[in-house]
Amino acid sequence: MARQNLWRTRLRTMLTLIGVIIGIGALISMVSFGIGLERNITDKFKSNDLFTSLTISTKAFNFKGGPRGRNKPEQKTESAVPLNDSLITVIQKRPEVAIAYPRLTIPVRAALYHDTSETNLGSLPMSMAKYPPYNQLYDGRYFSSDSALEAIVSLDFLRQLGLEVCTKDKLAHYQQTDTALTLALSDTLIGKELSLYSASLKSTSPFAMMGGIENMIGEEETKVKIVGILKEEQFSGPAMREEIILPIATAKKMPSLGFDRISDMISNKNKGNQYASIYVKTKSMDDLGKLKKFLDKQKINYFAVDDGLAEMKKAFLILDSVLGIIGLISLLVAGFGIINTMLMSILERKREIGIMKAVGGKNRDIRMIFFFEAGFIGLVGALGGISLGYGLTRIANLIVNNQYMKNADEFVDMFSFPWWLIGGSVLFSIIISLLAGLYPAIRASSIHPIDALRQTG
Amino acid sequence: MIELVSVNKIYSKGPHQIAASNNISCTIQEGEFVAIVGKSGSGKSTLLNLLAGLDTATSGKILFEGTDISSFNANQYAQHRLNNIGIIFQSFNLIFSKTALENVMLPLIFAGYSTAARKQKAQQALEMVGLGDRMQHKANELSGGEAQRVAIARALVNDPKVLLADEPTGNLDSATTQEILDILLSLKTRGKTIIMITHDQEIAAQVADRILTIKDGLLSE
Ligand SMILES: Nc1ncnc2c1ncn2[C@@H]1O[C@H](COP(=O)(O)OP(=O)(O)OP(=O)(O)O)[C@@H](O)[C@H]1O
Ligand SMILES: [Mg+2]
Repeated sequence: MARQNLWRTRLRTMLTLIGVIIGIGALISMVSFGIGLERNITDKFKSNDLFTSLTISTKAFNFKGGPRGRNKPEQKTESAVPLNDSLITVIQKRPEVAIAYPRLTIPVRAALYHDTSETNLGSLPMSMAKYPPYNQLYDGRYFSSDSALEAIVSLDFLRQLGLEVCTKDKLAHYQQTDTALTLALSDTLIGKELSLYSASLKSTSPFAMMGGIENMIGEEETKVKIVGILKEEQFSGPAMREEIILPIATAKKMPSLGFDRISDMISNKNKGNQYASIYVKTKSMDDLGKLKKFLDKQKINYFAVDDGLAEMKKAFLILDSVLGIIGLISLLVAGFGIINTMLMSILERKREIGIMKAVGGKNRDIRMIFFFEAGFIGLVGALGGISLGYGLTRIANLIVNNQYMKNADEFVDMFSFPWWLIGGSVLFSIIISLLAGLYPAIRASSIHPIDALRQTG
Repeated sequence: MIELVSVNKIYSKGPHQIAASNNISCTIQEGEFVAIVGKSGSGKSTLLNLLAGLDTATSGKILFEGTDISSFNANQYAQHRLNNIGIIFQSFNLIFSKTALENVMLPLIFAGYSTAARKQKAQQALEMVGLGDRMQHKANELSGGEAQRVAIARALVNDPKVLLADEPTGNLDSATTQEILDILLSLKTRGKTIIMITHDQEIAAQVADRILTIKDGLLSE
């Protein structure tokens, strides 16, 4: 019955409905953009180890209390505990820790085919195989063992060697773009031999020293096979700065003049057992906080980048609120539209209200009819608004992806429609509509039946 | 069944006071067909509205089956109309955009019947007034006589004890008037108490058991 009453004032109802649809559409596309942005960025962070890892070091990093000076400068100096295998064992046993391993960074000259490039070489244990980005390589696979003569290389490294790598299915796309680099299919690089030249101490005897630096230091070649190629990452964690990664035991065996060995040589203490830094990955973001507390208590120096996360969350909350408020305002405008429409329709339907009262309709019955109509506008408006918002965001996605992100590997969905947003906006629309219907409904029900029936219509 | 004791209804317009009902006392028996006649502006509709609980008396008592309804609130009046009273108007007062059937079903919505029960009762009522074949017609597609019969069906559908009719034939030609009067007479034989307003003495004399005359708010036999 209420539905049919609505159609009587069809045009005005349609316009009101459009108001609600636009309001909900604006609200839902704004908020879904905010949520989508947040999701896309946090996903990027989650896909690497930025917020679940830290690096334990001998010396305190000075990043804390940085340029903005928010944090008090730390008074840490040398770590109280030496960074050695027994510390790694202790940390590894903690419940919040997923992996802990020493960071070895070795400067090398790498040669593939006839090109060479100077770069840093990193190392990873087998246990990192299941974590991003190593579980989702661009091509190839992870190491077969901790001591295999294998390497994983980055796309950037290959570019330094003059190679633009692509997979077979993307070949056509790459052939259209101008590049000075040689195009190479990724699977032809897998299995290729890579020569790594690292510096080594020939001799530390005083005689050799007197003979000059050339006599002390030589270059040794290690041959490894490329087994995997790393994906490009927009945000890279500390463990991914290296462009070539070797299995950890292989890297340990490599002759090198790295920081740790020089310090071994000079300080002559904790020989062969002290690392410059230890990389620790926790099971979750919460676990990182727990680990930090533990390390603080033990007076162990570390560096972690998750301090920015809280700031970022705050920024997103503000963004979401601003977007939400814009949508909210349009919905409130729609709410006034509902009030207006219903007051107009009460005037038009005064006689009808009188009839309903004359045949025994109570004030409550009449209130409910108007209330129901308002709720109906809210519900239909919400469903329409969600469709509108969804449609608009799909179009926006298509335009942005086709026009501005042609070179991106994957389609980027800029928006997110979690169930709570859809359910919430339906509920919200109905609540706003009911609130808007409250006054008209009370007005309608308090019309005196004789006045109402006097109206000719 | 209905008893009025010194009922007054006074409208004040600034310094002027109009006694639309002036100290009215009377009794109406169950099953009676009473006609109220009077000139335009004499206070006929005012009296009927007081009986229907659409308006409240300025003073006096209105007893319905022994209960004083003059102090009822709006909800109690609505319930009273729903259970005990069917009203028929001169201008039919149907909802034009709805079908005959939907118009007749309206009181049953407020009475809380299920859709199926509403439909069945409304159909019965429409058949009783001879409109079984017009149920799906929109109210604004009906002739005056048909519209008034729909209104009678609507007044009857919840089986009230009393029918109040305010000039039910005022808008109809003589042939249709006769049809409507016949229906009202048949309802009287079914035991309904009927109070009908008319300004036509002849009609009143034809159908009523008793004629009450009203003049300037004063009622007389
Ligand atoms: N709401 C009101 N305010 C002021 N005066 C009113 C009101 N309603 C009715 N009256 C006055 O009360 C008197 C009785 O009116 P009422 O409608 O009862 O007359 P009636 O006998 O039904 O006339 P008609 O035959 O024209 O329908 C009239 O003088 C009218 O002007
Ligand atoms: Mg009248």
